[in-house]
Amino acid sequence: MNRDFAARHVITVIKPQLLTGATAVSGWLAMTDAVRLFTLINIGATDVKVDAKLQQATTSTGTGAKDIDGAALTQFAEDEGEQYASIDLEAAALDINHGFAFVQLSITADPGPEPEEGQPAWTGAQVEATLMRTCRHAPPTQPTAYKEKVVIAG
Amino acid sequence: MNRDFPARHVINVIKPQLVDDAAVVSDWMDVLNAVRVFALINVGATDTTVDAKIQQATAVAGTNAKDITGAKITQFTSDDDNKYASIDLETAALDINNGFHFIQLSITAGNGSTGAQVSASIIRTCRHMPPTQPTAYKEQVVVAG
Repeated sequence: MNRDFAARHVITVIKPQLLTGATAVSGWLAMTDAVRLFTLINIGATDVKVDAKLQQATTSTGTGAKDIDGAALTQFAEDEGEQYASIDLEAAALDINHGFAFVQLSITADPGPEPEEGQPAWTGAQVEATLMRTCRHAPPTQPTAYKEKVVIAG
Repeated sequence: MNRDFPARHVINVIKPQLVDDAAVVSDWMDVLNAVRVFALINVGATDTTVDAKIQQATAVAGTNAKDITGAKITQFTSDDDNKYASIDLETAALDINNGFHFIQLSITAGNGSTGAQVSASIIRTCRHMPPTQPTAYKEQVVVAG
């Protein structure tokens, strides 16, 4: 049997939620034991624009936070609901030499200008994300919110 | 550089949405080219129960759909907000000898006041690469080191 998926990846999420004029973040994740990070950004119904990007920092509180070149999605337009996209990051692309060993995913729902007078307010975007760090040393410790892992072997 | 993730996996989703007293499902997915399937069920705010399971069928239309022994999660209760769970399935566990090589994830929310915010990612690890991704997969950004 191959190793099950969660034995090789630390899995973190941004919870599914309706987001309007706000940013949801994953929290800062240590990459010291990871060779890569795969992030899947999943958009449901939306009537606003959605952006997503990864940033790097030197501590788990986001110290010195800065962008990672190229680690951003093309903006989802208001009519691009029910689509998804990914950012696949090799850990070696971080500014490790300067201590940047933490990453965070952020998703921003941008309502833009107010609706014209008499028009209803924007509803927002249904968003969620899955973040998977591929580990050097397995099995990793999973977050406490990871309630259950069911494994069915063949 | 290692192969990037979507070069080795086909990725499907159940979109994030509020569900109350209803079930939402993924497409039926062919696993003939997959060695395993990893389904992550993500639950946000909820005031009701949430169940999830993977079923198998003989055709993409869901023909002869039936359960896979053990391929379901323990029910989320109405106070299990902001948690997630997974079902990791080796495709050899399917009833392949009888033609069952399509799978579907379903998530069912009980009858609450508001319901449950749910979503899912379904990842098939492929035998032959790179796979073709669903058209809803809008963009793959790869940042190499």
